[in-house]
Amino acid sequence: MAKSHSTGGHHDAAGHHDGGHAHVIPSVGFYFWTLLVLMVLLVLTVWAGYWKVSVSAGIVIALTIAVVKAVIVISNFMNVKFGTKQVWLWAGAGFFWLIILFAYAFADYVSRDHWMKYPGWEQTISERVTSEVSGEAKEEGSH
Amino acid sequence: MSNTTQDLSLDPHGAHGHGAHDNPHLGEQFEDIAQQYDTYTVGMWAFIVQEVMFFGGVFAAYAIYRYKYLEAFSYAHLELDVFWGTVNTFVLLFSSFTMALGVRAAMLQARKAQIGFFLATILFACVFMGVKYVEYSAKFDHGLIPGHNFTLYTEHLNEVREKHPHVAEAVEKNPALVPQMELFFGFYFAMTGLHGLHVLIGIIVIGALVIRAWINKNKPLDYMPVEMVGLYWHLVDIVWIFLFPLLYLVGGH
Repeated sequence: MAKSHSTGGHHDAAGHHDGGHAHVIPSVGFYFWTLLVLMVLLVLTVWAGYWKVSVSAGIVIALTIAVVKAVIVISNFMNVKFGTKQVWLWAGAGFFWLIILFAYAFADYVSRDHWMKYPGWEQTISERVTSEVSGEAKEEGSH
Repeated sequence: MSNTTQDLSLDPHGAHGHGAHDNPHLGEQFEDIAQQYDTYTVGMWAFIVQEVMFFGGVFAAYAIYRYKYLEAFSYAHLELDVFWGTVNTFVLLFSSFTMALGVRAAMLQARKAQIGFFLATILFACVFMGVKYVEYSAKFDHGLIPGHNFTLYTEHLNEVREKHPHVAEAVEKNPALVPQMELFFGFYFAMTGLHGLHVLIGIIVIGALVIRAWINKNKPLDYMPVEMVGLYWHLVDIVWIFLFPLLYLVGGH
């Protein structure tokens, strides 16, 4: 399954085929344009840092630009764009893991204020067991 | 598994014949160079995913404390120098560009160009480390080293008052902010320190590739080690792409 080289006009599509594998060598111009876009996004990042917006909005803006920059680096500089499906899978898996990590961690921390309304939730199981045992001991003592 | 090897010209422009002479760059466990190439690449990506998980943990810890100590972290980050942070981002992006061109030259067996681009990459990496030295020294001078001399917001509050009066006022009202600000600098040094360590390792490994290319100036070389190091270097760039706005910019100025 030789991969098509016609994935855009930027690279010169020099490649070799070995057992169905195509190895694309992008042109200097392709890398130059990639760099130029990254530089524009860097200017945008710094500029956006000085916008008068709330901290949370600032984080969302900064992270959005950072993700775009990272995707460009992964796709063009790391050549995932020309990679096999297996490489796409690996590259995606790393960042999918990050989504899981952040989603679960924040589901916990963000919801803690809510559960504060219900006294006792913050006790660990060991604390609860200890207090129950000492409670039983007191009851026994009162008999 | 068949032990037949294929003719795998190291020149990507060359004929892609499938003759049966031994290729010195083909490991005997592989069917052909394409399979070897895919295996190398996937192996390197497995390493990169591991690095993403490693840095991801630190980023998550930072994000959680940023959320918990929003006010303190917003004050503390004002001590970071956006100018130097921007310079370093520029330098690292440019080094990724020279690295990509170096890998390309290696694929084309253009040895001189490869050595030139790699030396440029090393130069940019050294500039990055130099800027970090300037920044770290300033933090030492200002009393911003957690656990060592974190004195800016206690003994030298007047200095803060000159630059950021609202920060000095907030700290005076609520001294509990100071240990939280110390934590911010703990994260700053841990994150940029770990990243700096990766840059340092990158300089050594790219240096080794320059020596390898120099010694084998007139021989065709397997470019896969070069491409693997390239992937590593771009990862170092990506980590900084996230570190820069999250540490230096977010929280307003």
